[in-house]
Order: sequence, then C-alpha cells, then structure tokens
Amino acid sequence: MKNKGVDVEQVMEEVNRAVAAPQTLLADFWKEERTPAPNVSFVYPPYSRTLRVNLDMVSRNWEIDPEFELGSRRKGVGGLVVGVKKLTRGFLRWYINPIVHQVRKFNMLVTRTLHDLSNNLDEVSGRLGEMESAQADRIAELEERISRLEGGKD
Amino acid sequence: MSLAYARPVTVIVLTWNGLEVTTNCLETLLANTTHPDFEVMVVDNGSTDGTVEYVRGLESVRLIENGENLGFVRGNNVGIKATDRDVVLLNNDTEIVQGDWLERMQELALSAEDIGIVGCRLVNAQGDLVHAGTYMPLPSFWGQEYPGDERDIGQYTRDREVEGIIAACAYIKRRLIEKIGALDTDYFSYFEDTDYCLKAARAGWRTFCCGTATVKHLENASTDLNRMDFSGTFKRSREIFLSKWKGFYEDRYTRRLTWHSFISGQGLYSTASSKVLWALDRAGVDVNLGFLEGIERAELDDFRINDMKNRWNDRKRPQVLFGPPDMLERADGSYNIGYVFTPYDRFEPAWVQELNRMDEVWVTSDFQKEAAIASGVKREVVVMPLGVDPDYFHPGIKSYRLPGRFAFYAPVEWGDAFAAETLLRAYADEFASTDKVVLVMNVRSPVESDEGWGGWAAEAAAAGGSGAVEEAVEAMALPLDRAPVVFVVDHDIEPYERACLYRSSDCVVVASRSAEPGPTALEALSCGVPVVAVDWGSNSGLIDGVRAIGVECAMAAAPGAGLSWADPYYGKMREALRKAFAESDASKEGALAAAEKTRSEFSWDEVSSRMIERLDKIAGG
Repeated sequence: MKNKGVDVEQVMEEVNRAVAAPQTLLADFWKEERTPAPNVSFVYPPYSRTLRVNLDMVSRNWEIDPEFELGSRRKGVGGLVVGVKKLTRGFLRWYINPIVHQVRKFNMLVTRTLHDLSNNLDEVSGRLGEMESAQADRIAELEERISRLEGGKD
Repeated sequence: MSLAYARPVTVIVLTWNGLEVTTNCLETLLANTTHPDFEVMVVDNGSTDGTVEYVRGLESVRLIENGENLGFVRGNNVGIKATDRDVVLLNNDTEIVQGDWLERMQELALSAEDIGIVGCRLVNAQGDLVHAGTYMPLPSFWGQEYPGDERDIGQYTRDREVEGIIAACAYIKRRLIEKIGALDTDYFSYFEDTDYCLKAARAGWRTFCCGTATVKHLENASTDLNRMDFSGTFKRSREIFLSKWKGFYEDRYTRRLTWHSFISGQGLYSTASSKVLWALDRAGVDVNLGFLEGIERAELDDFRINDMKNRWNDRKRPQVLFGPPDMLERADGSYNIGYVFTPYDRFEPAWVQELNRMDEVWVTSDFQKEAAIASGVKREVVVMPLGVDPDYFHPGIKSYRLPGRFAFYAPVEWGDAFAAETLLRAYADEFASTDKVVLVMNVRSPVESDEGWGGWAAEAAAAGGSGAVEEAVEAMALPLDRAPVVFVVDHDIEPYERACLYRSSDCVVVASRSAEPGPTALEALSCGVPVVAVDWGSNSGLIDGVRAIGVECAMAAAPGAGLSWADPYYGKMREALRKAFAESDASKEGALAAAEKTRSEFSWDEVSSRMIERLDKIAGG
C-alpha cells in the first residue's frame, strides 16, 4: 500500500477553513433577504480539479433559452396569467430574441474558448510532467555513473 | 510505564561506518530509554570514519571491535555471544523516540513462556509506518513488511502474533538463543531475521510485534553509506532462504480456493476482497485469484494479492464468485459459491435464475438470506458477513477534530442510492447557525450521460470535477439560517485512512437506501464512534438506539429495478440527528464500550474462520 491519495489531515484542515470562512451559494445571491449564515462550502481536490468544476458549471449554464416554459403558482387565475405572459412574450419577441441569441453566441464562444484553454493547459502540463520525469531519470543516471566512477577510484 | 519485574537486557548496536547515524542512535538510546536495567553494547565491523573513537569516549557503552566487516549476521552474533542476558538487536540507523519502548517490548516478551522474539513498529524519517511484522507472499518469495509505506495513523497498535519481524529492532529471549543458537551464519545480511523467526517457530516459540512500541528507522543506512551492493547481497540471501524454507511455505497451505471478484479500485468488492483474501492466506488457504470480468491484469501494489493472481488454478478447487448478482456466471470448477447481496428488498428474477445454477449461495446478513429465500433461491443460503480490519478501525486511530463543534460525517454518492437530500434538508432544518454543529459530507459526484452542447458536463464529471452536487444543493433552496455544511467533493482519500475521518467526527451518518450499505456503520462503531443509520437491511442488526440510532423509513421504488429500497422519513432523520447531538455523551460511551467486541466479532479473521468452517463442511460432503 502506497500513499497516493489525499491525506485526511489535509482534508480536515480544508474543512476547518471552510467552516471558519464559508462560501455563499450562488442561489442565495438572487434572494431578496440576505442569508445571515452562508454556511455551505464545497471543498474540491487540489490543482486543476477546481478549474474543471467551474468549467463544468459554465458548461451547464451557457445556454439560455428565451422560449422557456411559462407557468404560474396562482390557483384559479393561473391559466389567465400564463396567457398574459405568452401574449407579452409574443409582443416582445422581435426585440428580446436577437439579444438573447447574441448572448448565447457569446456564451458559447467563451465556453468553447475556456475548454480549449483548459485542454491546452492539460497538454502543456502533460508535456511538462514528461520533461520533468525525463530530467529526473537523466539526473539519476548521471548520479549512478558518478557513483560508479568514484567507486572505481576508491 | 514501569515493569513489575525488569529483566536485565543488552541492547546490541552493530556499526560499520555511519558516524552521524550512530551518534544519533546512541544519544537518543541513552537519553530517552527509561528501562531500569539495560546495557548498551556496540559491536563495530571495522569502521574507518571515527565511529570507534566516538564510542570509546562513551563511558556507559561497552565496545567490541571486530576490526573487519563480518556482515550483519556474524557481527551481531559476536554481540549475542558476549552477553548472557536477553538481547535487543538494534540497527545503528534507528532513533529512539519513545522512552518506554524497551519496557513495552520486554513486558510482551515475558507475558508468555513461548514468546521468543518481539519486534516493534518502525517509522521512517518522514514518519510513515514501514514495519509492523513481515510476511512471505508466494510464489514470488519477495518478503514483505506490514503495512508498507503508509502514513502512521495509529494502525497496528495492538500486540499481534506475526510470521516474522525484521532485525532492525528485535528483542530475543536468552532461553530461545540457548535453544536454537544465534543467527544463521549462512546469511551475510538480509533474510536472516525471517529465517530466525521460522526456526524459532519450528522449535515451538512464537514471534510478536509489539504495537505499543515505536522506533524510528532510517532504512539501509550502512548499505548506502558504504556503497554496498544491496541487490546482489539481497539476491544471494534470498537464494539461501529459498533453499531452506521453500518447502515449509508450500506445505503451509492446507486448503485451496479460487476467488473471483474485483480487486483494484476502492469499491466495496475490491476492498472487501483484498481483506478477506489476506485473512484466508494467513489461515493457510491457498487462494488463486480470478476475476469477474477478466480485465484486471495490471500489477497491484499489494504483493500478497499480486502473487495470488499468479498461482496455479485447478478445477477441483471450490470457486467463490463475489460480485454484483447481475455479473455472476457459473465458473469452471467442482463447486461454485455465489457470494452476493442485493441493494433492494428482493433479488431480481434473472439473478435468482443464475444463483440457482450455483452449488450454494453466501450472503452478507440474515436480512439478505431472507430476501434470497423469499425471491426464490433454492440453493442452500449461508450468511458470511462483511468484516472489519481491527488494525485500522479502532479508537486509537489518529483524529483531526474540528475545534468547538459537534461534527456529523456522512459519506455519500450523489444519486439515487443515497438519501443525501433528505439528510441535508433534515440537518439544515433541525440545526440553526447558533448550534455548534457541522455536517461534513464526503461526496462522490455522479458521472452523467451526455448533456449540453458538446458533452462538456459529462466530460468534467468523468474527470472527477463535476459541479453537479453544487448545482443540486443550490436548487434545494436551503433555509437561510442554517448550521454549517461542508461538502468534500471527489477527494481520492486513501481507503486505509477512512478511520481517521470517522475518528475526526462525533457521529457517522449512513444515509444509504441500500439493503447492504457496506461496512461504514460497522467500521465507525469499531472506532468507538456513534452512528445514525437508516434502520433497514443489514444495518438493522446494529441499531440499539444508543450507540447506533436508527432512522425509520418507508419503502420506495428503486429507479429501473422494479424493486424497492429504503426511503428514510425526513422527520425521523431530524429526530435521529437531534438525538445523536443531544445525547452525545451516552452515545459515545456506548460506542467506545462496545468497540472492542465489535472489532473481534466482525474481524476479517473471524469471517475467514467461518468460511473455512464452511469449506471444510463442503469438503466433508
């Protein structure tokens, strides 16, 4: 058994830090009443994983749809409310939809660019890792040769 | 600690250059050791770096100069012959970090007439545990040490009878030396310690590893310092060892078995398989390892398991197939045993059909047995519970507690199989920001099917970096005044460190809907940590309302299965969490009091004994 994984001590340190300085859920930003205690935190593994998580969130949210399903919580008059909403949307479609499409296009390009950058980063990191490993092997080989030479002199 | 009776003992330190490490060894040995009656003897193998001059200057140390390098074995034997006391062989690259190490080793050695050799835990310079006894995997015969480079978290702290120990720190009774002599001079260095333990065993003496004594060991310092040919010396000694003991090891196995399962990874089947295979091997069962899917051919870090892959298989052996019921297929072999469990209230008809093709069926609990019979399994059904490793799950395991807060710890996989959302909502509604509690959820994100443009989300999830949990929690709109929750997402924590997570919390919550939620509750209770668990399936047997608080549940349809599993009541979950918090002292007391019993009753050795008993019954017809 080798130590490859994350150490529990590290994890608990992160948990402790998160309790002391909690994050705020994105959902809470939209609430009129501010939360007195944010108190929900997400701790991700070190290095590029956090980037992946954020990128994942971007990927899930880039696509905005102006034709989302309309509804109403009101009983009885709900149907009427939905009808008014649909009518309003129909009137404003000529104005809203082009803007939404523009934003969608922008979101898509930004998301795609972020993914490309992330992939490039992975590739560069991979190459760097290979170079470091090759360098370490070379150093070990040289050290062995030096030892052999010194041993010969002794 | 103080001994009722301290027997005089000679600590023999063999040196061959390495002044720096020797100085450190002797200084810490003389300054820290509290044993009332010990002498230090340095046997020098012809050092030329000032070691001899240094030791001559130490008044309390007896020096024997060999003048030349006699090797580890002959060098130590000179010391053994120069005293009539019990001896401790102590490498010069060790450091004494615990004052009563010698008392503890001696106390264990004197606790029974037939204990002849006692070793101790060894940690390296980084503080990793590198030795707690040795074993010999077959057929490779590359001797190994328990546990092999793990962080020292307090594992292996009980006294255990072991196959061997290494001579870096070895207490040897004088009576044993009189009986079987000193170390075997056929060896120059390496393998002589295992050889000596085996020779002692053959003469009726037992070898122990003292779990309460720890010494620091900087490995192979003399070999490195003197640029000795480690590999050549090791290979020569191994050949000598094989010529003496190969037959002994091969005869050690009295039963044979083929085990088909998963072995790599951190899933339940893999971790349980490796533990039970170790226990069976220790008990003298020659296990040949097969696989359910035939794809796990890669070399593993675990030498004993690795060797099991390379052992000869024959069709006469009983075959145990341990895996999900939908993956079992009758294997070649004389007697097929399906070892299974269902997450639901019943086994699916297709599984039952396959199980009825087996010769017998093993399940993990009485609940599973009832479910199997009720589902139409006609073969004999025998209960073989999942076990717990007492060396890794006990109250002495290291903890990293959160200051000033009661911590709930809940391991969950985000998805249908866990009532994670019920737990989260119950906790958030039950505890306010003023309550000194925290819920730590160790979450594994779901790997989803393609969704969204270009399948980015699925890619991220597969790479272990999904934001799915965060989004699901946001959508829950938790109450604003809530006690803290920390999600530890997709961390690859070493399985052997799991007990640290339990020990770092005040209560472990098992929110699984499955009828076989795995060993979490059992492991936590073995660590003396109270549990809140869904009161259904295999865990029901553990619920006592004090150390293990049950959460009542309804039954709900499991997606896609046409069967049911547990759906814990939100209100009952709130009650259970509050009870665990309010009655924490009583729960902890109960859990600690029963921890020892839980460990011994459910140890993997106990499980393997049950299996062997069953195999013997099968063999006897």
